[in-house]
Amino acid sequence: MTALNLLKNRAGASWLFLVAATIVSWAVGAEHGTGSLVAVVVLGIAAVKVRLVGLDFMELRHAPFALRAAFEAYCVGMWALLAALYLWL
Amino acid sequence: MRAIAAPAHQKRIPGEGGTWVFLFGDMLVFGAFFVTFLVERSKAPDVFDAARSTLHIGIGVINTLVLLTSSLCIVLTLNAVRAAQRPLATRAAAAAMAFGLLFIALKVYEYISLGAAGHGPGANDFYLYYFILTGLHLFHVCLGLGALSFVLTQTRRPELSDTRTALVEGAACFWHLVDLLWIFLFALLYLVS
Amino acid sequence: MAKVSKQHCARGNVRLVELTLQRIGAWCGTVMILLYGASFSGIAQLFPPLSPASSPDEIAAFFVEHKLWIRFGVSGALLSAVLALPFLAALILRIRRVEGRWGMLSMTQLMAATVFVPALLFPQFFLGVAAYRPEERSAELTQALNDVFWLWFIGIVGTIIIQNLTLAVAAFVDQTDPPTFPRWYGYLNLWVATLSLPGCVVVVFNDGPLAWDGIFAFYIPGLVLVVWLFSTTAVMLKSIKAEQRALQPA
Repeated sequence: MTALNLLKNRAGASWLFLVAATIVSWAVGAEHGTGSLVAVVVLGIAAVKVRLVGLDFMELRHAPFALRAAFEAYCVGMWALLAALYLWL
Repeated sequence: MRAIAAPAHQKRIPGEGGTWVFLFGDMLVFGAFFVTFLVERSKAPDVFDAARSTLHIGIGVINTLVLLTSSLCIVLTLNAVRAAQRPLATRAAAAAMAFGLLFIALKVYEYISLGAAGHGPGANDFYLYYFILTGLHLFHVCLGLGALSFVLTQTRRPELSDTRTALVEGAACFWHLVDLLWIFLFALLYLVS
Repeated sequence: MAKVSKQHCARGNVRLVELTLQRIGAWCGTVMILLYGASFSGIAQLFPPLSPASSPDEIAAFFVEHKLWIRFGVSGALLSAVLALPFLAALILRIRRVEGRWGMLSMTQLMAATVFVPALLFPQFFLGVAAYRPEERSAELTQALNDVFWLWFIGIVGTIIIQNLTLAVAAFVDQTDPPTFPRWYGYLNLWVATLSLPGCVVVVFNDGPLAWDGIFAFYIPGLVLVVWLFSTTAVMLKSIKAEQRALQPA
């Protein structure tokens, strides 16, 4: 089994998505001034990336429900909290 | 030779229960730090935005990709260990560590060039928080490299007991945590301010 | 026959009494922080902390205005801090149980503990002196005394980190039956140690998040210390109870 075979699974696919998402958020977020909705989008992309790292790299996709739920709650909660602070402070 | 069974879609906790006490604890506290950063930002958004634009965003992007690839190498390491492919596992762990060292090198370069341009931690609040947050993260990267070197030594063993497996998985998860925290940090410091 | 079982019974009783004393010690940690916190924050009103960036006159004014309350708070803190003594003694003995005899872990813990209680006590004296006759002296002197208190109080965080590390090791190598420390407690100690680290740089910063009133150097380390104290009490109580149950004749 080669390295490639061992990566032809969710983790490999997730990595490709994560790399793409990084480039996208860079392109979108590089220049946008202050107080714009673009920031909310960038934070959202970050939250999605974090979720994938947790689910596919940390293998939480196969973890007991409580643990996975707590992690997903963290991702969503962080995005909501940070976006709210950015927009309304 | 007992190869560790691949997690065949039955629920199991990566690492062990206690690992997640540490990981969630760190995630929550860093969350508090992110909040603090945004609160400080709200006091001077223009200052923060101006300072943000002096950051080397290209290096930030590269560093993000470096950590993502490093994490992938660790996933490969664990899969290789489970498939009883020890030499591959060792090489993958070494590659992950090499990427980690690259991250540190790039970060140090960033620090030095920012400092030389007069944007040190004392310049204004943005730089203060930038250096503190990335510094604390860098400390975690160093701890993570220690954890990865442990993983590397374990890939050389013919078989791993349950406890060692839990520790290896826990160490891997800590490295993924370092990756995860950087994703938020990159977004906040380089893009959102 | 009767003599042997009587001896055995007596030894068992001594052990049970010892364990009961350890239980009291375990509770002392939680009680200590509650009383110390109430004295310091509630009575002396030193929470949130005074800012290191304040002018000498502002500091002196605070001490003149609150001098009686501060002194009452200091007395309360001095009294409640000593409760940490039996708590740390119990903790050291639990670690000794893991090692089976006096060893590196228990001795290191002992050394760290001998600094911890003085660190809770002695800085308070500076606070007390600062509040003793603040209107009769220059504001700079009061500020200097206040500085000594804060830098000492937070600066000793390194000894707490050592305690966390010895406890983490003890939790991970624990093979006793019933277990002394659960594995998650080891991870918790690692978390506390990591987050207490920024407290070491309070002497560097006069302002900002790493100063003695900053989020990284005061609030977070303070929070994790409280979490650690509550968890340690709970962990010790659970393991002592299990040990007592195992000792009871079937």
